[in-house]
Parts: sequence; C-alpha cells; structure tokens
Amino acid sequence: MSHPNQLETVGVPVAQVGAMARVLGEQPYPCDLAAAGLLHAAVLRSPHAHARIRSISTELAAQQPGVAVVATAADLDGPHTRFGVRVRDQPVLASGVVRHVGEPVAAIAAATPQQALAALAFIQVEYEVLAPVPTIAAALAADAPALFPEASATSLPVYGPGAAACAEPSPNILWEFTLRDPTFDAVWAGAAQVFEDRYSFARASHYHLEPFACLARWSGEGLSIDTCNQDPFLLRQDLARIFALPEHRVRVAAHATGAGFGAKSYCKLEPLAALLARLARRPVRLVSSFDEEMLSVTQHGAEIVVRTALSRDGAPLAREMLIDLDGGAYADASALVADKAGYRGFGPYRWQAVACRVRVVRTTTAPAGSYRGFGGTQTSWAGERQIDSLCRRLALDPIAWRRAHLLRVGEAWWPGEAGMDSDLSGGLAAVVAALDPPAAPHAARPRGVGVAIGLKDGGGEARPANAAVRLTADGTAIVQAGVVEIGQGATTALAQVAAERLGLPLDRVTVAAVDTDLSPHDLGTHASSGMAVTAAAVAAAADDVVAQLRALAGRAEAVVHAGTVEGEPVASLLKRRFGPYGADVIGRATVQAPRSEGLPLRSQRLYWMPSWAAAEVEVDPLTGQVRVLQLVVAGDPGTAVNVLGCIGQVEGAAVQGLGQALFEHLRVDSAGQPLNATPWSYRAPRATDLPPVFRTLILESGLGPGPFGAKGIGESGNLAIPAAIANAIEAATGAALTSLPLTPEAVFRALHVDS
Amino acid sequence: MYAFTYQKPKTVAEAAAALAADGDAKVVSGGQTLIPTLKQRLAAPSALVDLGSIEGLAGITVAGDTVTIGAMTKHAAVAHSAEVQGAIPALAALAEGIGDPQVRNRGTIGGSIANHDPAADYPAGCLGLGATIVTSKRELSADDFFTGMFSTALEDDELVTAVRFPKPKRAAYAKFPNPASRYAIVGVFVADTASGIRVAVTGAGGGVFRATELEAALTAKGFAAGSLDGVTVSSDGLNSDIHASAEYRAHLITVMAKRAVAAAG
Ligand SMILES: Cc1cc2nc3c(=O)[nH]c(=O)nc-3n(C[C@H](O)[C@H](O)[C@H](O)COP(=O)(O)OP(=O)(O)OC[C@H]3O[C@@H](n4cnc5c(N)ncnc54)[C@H](O)[C@@H]3O)c2cc1C
Repeated sequence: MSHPNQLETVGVPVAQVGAMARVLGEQPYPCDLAAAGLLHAAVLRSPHAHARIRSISTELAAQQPGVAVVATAADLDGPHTRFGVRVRDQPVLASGVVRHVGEPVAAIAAATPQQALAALAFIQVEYEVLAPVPTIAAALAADAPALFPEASATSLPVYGPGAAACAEPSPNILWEFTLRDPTFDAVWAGAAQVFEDRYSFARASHYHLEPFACLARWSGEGLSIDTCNQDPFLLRQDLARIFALPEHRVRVAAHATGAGFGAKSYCKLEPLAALLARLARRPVRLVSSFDEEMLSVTQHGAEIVVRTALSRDGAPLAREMLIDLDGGAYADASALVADKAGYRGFGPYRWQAVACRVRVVRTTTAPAGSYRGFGGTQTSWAGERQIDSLCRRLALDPIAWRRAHLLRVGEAWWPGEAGMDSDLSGGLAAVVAALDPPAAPHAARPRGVGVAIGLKDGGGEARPANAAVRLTADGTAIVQAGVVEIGQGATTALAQVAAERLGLPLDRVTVAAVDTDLSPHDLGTHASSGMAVTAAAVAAAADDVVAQLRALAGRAEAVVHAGTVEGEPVASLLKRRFGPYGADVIGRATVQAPRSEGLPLRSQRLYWMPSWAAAEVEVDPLTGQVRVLQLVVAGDPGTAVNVLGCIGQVEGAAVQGLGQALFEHLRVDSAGQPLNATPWSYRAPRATDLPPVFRTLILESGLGPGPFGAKGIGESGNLAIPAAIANAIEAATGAALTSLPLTPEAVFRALHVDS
Repeated sequence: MYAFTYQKPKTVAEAAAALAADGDAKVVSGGQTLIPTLKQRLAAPSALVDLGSIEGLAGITVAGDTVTIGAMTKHAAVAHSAEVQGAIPALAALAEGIGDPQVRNRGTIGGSIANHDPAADYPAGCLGLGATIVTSKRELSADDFFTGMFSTALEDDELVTAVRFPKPKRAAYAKFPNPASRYAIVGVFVADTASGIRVAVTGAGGGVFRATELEAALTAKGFAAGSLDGVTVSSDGLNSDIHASAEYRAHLITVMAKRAVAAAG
C-alpha cells in the first residue's frame, strides 16, 4: 500500500462480493447457460461395478425423436484421450471394460433434456459381468482380478532425498509413495515403548449442491467450454491433449460455482460434452443429476496403521504411517493425495524421525479425488485418535501431553522443512477455554471432553501464479486472476488486497470473471493457495500499478491514495498523460515459491494449516447414540483479510467434519453396488445437527506467506473434528473407536459387544 | 417419470370408480412417497387419481372416547391439533416426529397407512392404539389392515377415508430415527387401552407388528418400564441394512419400549 497509515480494507469484515446475487438467485450457473441451437446431453452409465462391454448398439437410440448424436468410446479413443493426474487411466467413455457403477458408457445429445434421457433406454449394451473388487482388502487379495492388466500413461515427479514413488507397482495399486528419515530405524530402536493401532476412515460424498455442468461449443477457432470447473487452466491442458489442439485453440470460461469441496477439480465431464458437440456440430450442455454426481467422484476411504515410538517419559520419538487409500476405479487426483497424505500426515509433534508408505488401491467403486483436506482428514483422524488412546494407556492427560509435545513456532520434524507457523499450543488452550464449563455429570448418560489438532499444509509445491490489475481511466480497478470463486470468498479477499495496495475503497475494485483466453495463468482453486500465492501476485500487480502511476506523475515517492496521486485525481493524471480518453494502467506480476532441492518434495511447505477442535459429547449407553453438546473449532488465517469469510470457511468445514464423524459414509455392497449414493439415502449434515454450543475462533498468527501475513484457511475446519469427537467418546465411556463414522450401532458395539 | 393422465374427482365414489375402471391407476394424496417413486421410474401408473378435491376427507373430530382423522389430514394438522393433543398426546407427538416440515405439511395419514412402509410411524400408532381403518367399502381393525411389507388388506379399488382411534388410558411412542430420512429404525408405540396393553413395533421388521413378549411382560408385571427388565426380543426375521443390524434392532425394541412406557407415565 502506498499510503503510510494503517490498513483500511484488509482486515475489515465485509459481506462476500456477489452474495446478494446468489441469495436472490440472480447468479447464473453453467446449467443456466443457453446458446443458439443448443443440444442437451444425457449419459448412459454402467449398472455394473465391473464388466466387459461385449457390444454397444446405438442405432435405435439415434432414431429417437430429437436425438442428434449418440457417442461411445469408438468416437474417441487412444491413450492420449485418457485423463488423470500423473496416471492417465480414465477414459471419457468406458472403453471395453466398466470399472464402477455409474461409469459413463455412452452419451446422447438431443434437442431437449427429456428427449436425451428418453433415448438412453434405446442404447443396447451387452455386458459380461466380471468379479467386483469393492474394497481395499478385495483388491489386495492374492486372487483379485487385475483391474488394469496394461500399464497406463504416467508422469512421475522428481523427488528429493528421503521420498520415492512408483506408479502402478502392481495391477490393483495405482500409486505408492514412501518417505523415510535415514535415522528412522535408529530412533525407533531406541524407543522405550511402541504402539501400533489400525484405523478405518469411511469415504464421504462431496455432496455439492450445484451439479457438474458445462456447455461446449466448437467453431473454426477450436473448442470453447463454459464450466463450473475450479481448475480452468489445468482443464485447458487436458482438453488440448484429448482433442489434439494447441492450447490457444481451447478456451475455458470458469463460472462462479455452487460449491465443490474438491469435486470440481481436474478434468470431469467437459471432454464428454466437447465430444458430443464436435459430433453434433452444435453446442451441447451437459448437466449431471445429483445421483450421477454422487457416482462420479468421492473422498478417499482409508485403512491406516499408525506406529508410534515414545521415550520412557512418554515423549514422542518416531512415527510411521502405513496408509492404504481406496482410490476407486480411476486415478483422478489420487497420486497427489497419496503424496500429501503421507508427507505431512504425522501430526504436529516433535518427532525425531518419521516414515510412511502410502498406497492408492484400485477398487471397482467411484473414483476418489480431491476432497477438502486432501489426505489430511484421513491422517488427522488416525494420528489424533492414537494420541488419545496411547495417553489413556499410559495414564497421561491427552491435553497436557499435546501441549508438552506440540511443535513450537519455527520447529519442524524434517530437517530443513518449513517451521511451524502457528501457535499450536496456544490454539489448543484457546479451544479448550472456549468450551462452557462441562455440565454436571449425568448419571445415565456419560459425558466427556476430547480435543484434536488436525494438520495439513497449503500453497502447493513451488506453485506459480500470475495476476494483473488494470486501473481504468476513471481510477477504478479490475483485478484479473485465475482463482475460481467456489464460495470460498476469493473474489472478495482478492479485491480487498488490491484495494488496500491501490489505496482505493473496496467498491472501486472489481474482480474479473475467469477465462483462459483472458485471465492470467493460475493453477486453479487448489491447495488453499488463493490467499498465499495468487493474492501475492495480485498485491504485486497492484504495486506495479502504483509504481507506474508514480512514474507518470514523475515522483518516485508520490502518495497514491483514494484515487489520487499526490493529490491529483488519477483520471486527471491519465488524461494529462494520455489525452482526452485517458488510458488503462496495467500492472502485472508473477510469483513463485522457491524450490528446495534437498527436501523430499523439493519444496518447503509454503505454510501450515492447523485445525483445532474441542468437543463435549454425551453418550446414551443403551443405544450408543452420541450427542455433541459443545464443539469449538479454530483456524489460523495468518491475517484475516476478511474475518467473516474465515469464519464461514471454518464453520462450514466443521459441519462437514461433524457429518464425517457421525454419519457420512458412502457404502457399496459386496457386488460393488452403491447402497446410499442418492441424496435421499445419504445422510448429510443439517442445520438441526449443529451442537447447542458451536463456536468458531479465528486465531491470527500473522505468519502467513501471503500479503499482509495471510495464509489459507479453507481446508482446516474439518480436519480435527472426527478425532475430537471420538476422543470425547473415549473420555466419556472408555470406548476406543477406531472406525468412522461413529454411528450409534458402532458406539453401542464398542461399549457392549467388542469389549 | 413416465407419462400418465391426471384426474381430480370430487367424491370418494368417483375416485373409487376411476380406480375400478383402470387397474393401473393409482391414488395420490400428499405425493410424498408416490412422486419420488415415479421420479425414480419405479412405478408407471397409467393415471393418477388425486384425492385433494374431495370434500370432507380432511379433518379431525373427537366424539366421546374416539378421535377420527380423515384420510387427507396432513401430519402437521394432527401434530398441531389441540383436540388430538388433548385426547391422545402420543399420536400428536408421533405426527410431529415424521420426516421434516415439508413432509409433514404434504404427507397424509391415509397415504401413510395405505403405503405401509415398514419403517413408517403411523402404522405403529394405528396398531398400538387398536385403531379402526375406515375405507370406501368397509371398516377394518388395524390388526387386520396391515398385512406385510408395503401391503395392506386394501383392494385395488378401495380407498382409506378415515382412521378412528379409541382414546387410551395412557400411551407413548418412542422412535429411534433413521439418520437420513428420519423414518424409524425402530419405533415402539405402547398403549394401555380398555382392551389391554398393546405394543406395536415399526422399523424393525417386514412391516408393523405387535411385540407379544413385551405385551405379556407388561400385562403380567404391570405397565412400568421395570417390567421389561431382562425381556429380550429375538432378532429372527428383523431387518439388517446399512443403518442397523437385526441384533441391534432387537436390542433397540426393548430400549424404546421401556422409554415409551416411562414416557406414558
Ligand atoms: C423426506 C421424507 C421423510 C419422511 N419421513 C417419514 C417418517 O419419518 N416417518 C413416516 O412415517 N413417514 C415418513 N415419510 C413418508 C410420509 O409420511 C408420507 O406422507 C407417506 O409416505 C405417504 O403419504 P402421502 O400422503 O404423501 O401419500 P402418497 O405419496 O400420495 O401415496 C402413497 C401411496 O399410498 C396410496 N394412497 C395414498 N392415499 C391413499 C388413500 N387415501 N387410500 C388408498 N391408497 C392411498 C398411493 O396410491 C400410493 O401408493 C417421509 C417422506 C419423505 C419424502
């Protein structure tokens, strides 16, 4: 900022830009878009978990009223047409084999959505049903059918010392990542006591209200897609490869979306819409139903073995995590999730040595991909559950143990890695202090308090971002950046950052829509990078504008504030320099966090994103029903650019974590058939689930890498919740639950049957 | 959804005639069960016969010791009715616990019992209280009306028009809800009635049923929760699904029965 006084816009709580339009239903979504000659798509999906496609006959369907085209894998095949992060194994339409219920097998574009849907019934597919592989255990069994007998196209990143990864080490394992501190064995050997426990993590549905939706059209210039995808530039690369186009012939317009929680990252239905549009030579809109959405991508279920070594006095020495993630049928982002889950999954304690092995196991279930927390939810559950159980076994107080052994600011468990940048112990004390005094003990319904600290990192790996800030001739500003507004409040916060640096009031700054033809390049709404990386580029681009204004004014020290340069209105300065119409002043910046070749992932964590939670529960021992009486959550945004946005993110994530803890679980039967993949049968949290005491704390460390000391906060709120609640149940009853969700029957069994 | 024709008769007789004329026609009341079924293409009726315009099918009357509820009466109307709250508070509470506000303001008692979802609440209230189901053709005791999962004694062209509940000495309903839909995983309706103690169970089995072992214990030892101590219900034939195993359901039947007895006072 060019004005010497204190912050004027950053740190001021404001309602989200565009909130009113969303509330009033004026915000258009891709499913609302129209185009001349528009066709509507419907997708025929596999009814089987695993089957060979013997034949597909589309002639009858093609003759149905309104049908323009019917597409199958025969219309688009070859290795370059598959997609997936690092392992490209997912076809646009099933090719030869279907590997999960709901996999797209064929698609129709017709004049109306009803005609497209009705015509699906006329596509005849002959399947030869193959043995399903519904679970991690089934996939790893010696006699398991190989889901991918042939190798996929892969691209492995380069790892630094200590880390290694392997794509497709065996047919049903997609990816294996290992990390091992060279001193691990020696430290482990010196331990006075070791603990090994196994934890299960149930996969949840993203359950985003806005479905997958896109509108594809071709012109002489190439392909143009309007979509709710959160990674427009990554999608552009995928589409360019799949349709053999240069990137400048692919345009992705990313619209403000109606939630995603990770589901809308990377390539989704866009290539299918593009294929239909190309075949039909007309624009095609593809909008999935909620049921289809629930079969398209999910969170990763996991089986996790946690091995922990302590010294004689109970201090942490070493931890090893053996993590099997249920990757479902196709890669999606699993390889990335695996690396991250393993690399930072040990919990924020002063370990002397760590090691992990993460495997992504392929099953004949919906593909698992990015989900808020990106592997951190799974590891925080297992690691934080074990801390409480081992404290109980050693008769130690779990809160006191944590406070003694949490990483202090600046400390790291891997030499050379970024030090902790939050006051972990202070945060823990804060959430505990924010609980109301526990109510008097209830004779028939035991109560207990539990805490947990979840952890993930944010900001990606040496991630680049570009931004531009355009000052118009009247002195107002337009921010251009590639972060998609997915409800996280990026638009508002980026506008605040630019306004602060330009010395403009917030209402004189607009953030432009994201369009790959127009917007500066960014890797997308990912890794909670908006505030830590893209905002830094926006701030620098605004600084560039200020520098240019000073140059135009001819004074290097000119005060730029409130639309004036050294007292002269910007509009007047621009007219003086550029003539009666003035001119835009365009500031640009590129930022990138540095590489650190000596580290396992070859870059330092850009920042740490801890999640603190304290919960008080009441357990009905006769039914196993758990009531969460109090829940306090905290997150650290470094500096809260917009504290209302921070509260919204942490609170919303906490409710997601509450669902994960108590009931969310996408299930399949032994044939791989989904049992509750509909909004009617799947239990998502409701307003009435909120605990009577539900508090959110925003604890600003000021230590973030972003402008004004900001960090990301969007993925923190859910990480600690499942473990905090299970820890509270253990405190109340002694029942040591190791599987999610904590359903009444599971709690009842832990209390009465298993013990 | 498949195509169908839509009729809105003015009288019960017209509605029954429409059903008799077309074997594939179906009645629609609140539509809370039927419309989702159509949307999922699980049913393809040729015609929908909407009972919404028939006068006199909705309403609550209390005469002496009998509460009569018209088939088209919404769950919310029963829940909020001062007459029902006064005469059979357990029934008003049962209605208040069905689904969510939208469902309670559309769904009807006639639709609920005609549908006889094995996890629905009203069948437990009807069977527990020993209600009489009034149809376009006859009157049936609840014991005779509910015949099994999603089935009743109703004939194809027969409509439920009302339900008559005798006022009990005391009664209560305790439900352990399904976490997703709020239907009953196990719901137990207990009533101390002029004709004896009745315990009706929903959610646990293939349809609503009377827990005779619990009735016997309460009758022998008195209408008190303690009378059920040590009384277990067999899990044979009970439902096992993603929400609960048969063993857990069997256990819950006794727990919910005790809670209902305690609540009935
Ligand atoms: C989200 C949700 C949650 C729910 N939760 C619960 C719950 O917790 N507990 C519970 O008990 N129920 C629950 N229900 C069901 C609800 O109570 C419905 O009201 C009930 O299923 C049917 O009533 P309806 O009036 O909507 O019937 P409709 O859907 O209109 O009809 C249902 C069936 O009954 C037939 N029918 C309707 N009326 C008559 C009649 N008068 N005579 C003969 N046949 C008739 C129809 O032909 C159809 O086959 C829930 C429903 C939803 C959608």
